[in-house]
Amino acid sequence: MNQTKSVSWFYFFLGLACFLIPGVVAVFIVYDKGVSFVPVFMFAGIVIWGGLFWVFPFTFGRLGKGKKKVTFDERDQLIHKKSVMAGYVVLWIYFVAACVIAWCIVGPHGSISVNVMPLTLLGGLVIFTLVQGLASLIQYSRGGKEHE
Amino acid sequence: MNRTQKGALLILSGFIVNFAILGYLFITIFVLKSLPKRSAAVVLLLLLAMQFGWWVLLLRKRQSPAEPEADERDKAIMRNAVLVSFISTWLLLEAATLIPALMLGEAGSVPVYILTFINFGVFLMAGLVYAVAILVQYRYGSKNE
Repeated sequence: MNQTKSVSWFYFFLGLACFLIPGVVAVFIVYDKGVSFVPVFMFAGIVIWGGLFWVFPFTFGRLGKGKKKVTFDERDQLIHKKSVMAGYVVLWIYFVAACVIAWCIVGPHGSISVNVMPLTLLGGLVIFTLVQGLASLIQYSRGGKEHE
Repeated sequence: MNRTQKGALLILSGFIVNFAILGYLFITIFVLKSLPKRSAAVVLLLLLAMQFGWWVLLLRKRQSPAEPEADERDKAIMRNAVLVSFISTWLLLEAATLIPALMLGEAGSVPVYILTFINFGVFLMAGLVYAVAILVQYRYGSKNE
């Protein structure tokens, strides 16, 4: 296993652990004691972690700048930035669609439960991660050419 | 000032005008519980016309006849600004969805039009952060790239 692969596996397990452990604990707290500050705070942490996880490669890239071996070069950075931007665009469309769909379902004078809003955010996180991953895969399969 | 900086200034001025108009409408409708006055509409239209005129002046005055749309450095700056704007958007959306859940409790509900306001507010803030990020990067010479 080369260094890039091992770093990818490290990110995968780090992301999964930081996503699953607080998530499961928060669900148990809500199930046991209802909605309070602690589970909402944990949920906020998970969503921030999931939504901003893409910043990590840049941060670790800066930390390891003194080392001779390059694992995240200019091309990777460009591909990563483009895939995050693609995810961002889809995320906007998703949130606008969520507003319109909610409006259509309950009508202009209707109201929605506050529990639906964090779930919408979670859906946005899943879609963003999916699109970002797909965009990265497509760009790597095409050789990461410039399509500005 | 190149085209990217001009674009950032346009977005920034658009944010300020939108914020003023929306702020006035919000205070009139939701705080004072009345409808906006017709005289205010004249002031708002004047504000929009002034902004439009400034935009035309800004766009017509070019840095040089050979000014390109955007070079590599401009593109890198815009890309970084989009990413910064994304971080702010994500944090704002999270705050906007979790704070009502915390304040209103498990059985609480919000009117559906609030979602539109949230989206529009986050959109305006994303534009503001994007424009400011571009101007700041030009100011500091974009040392990171």
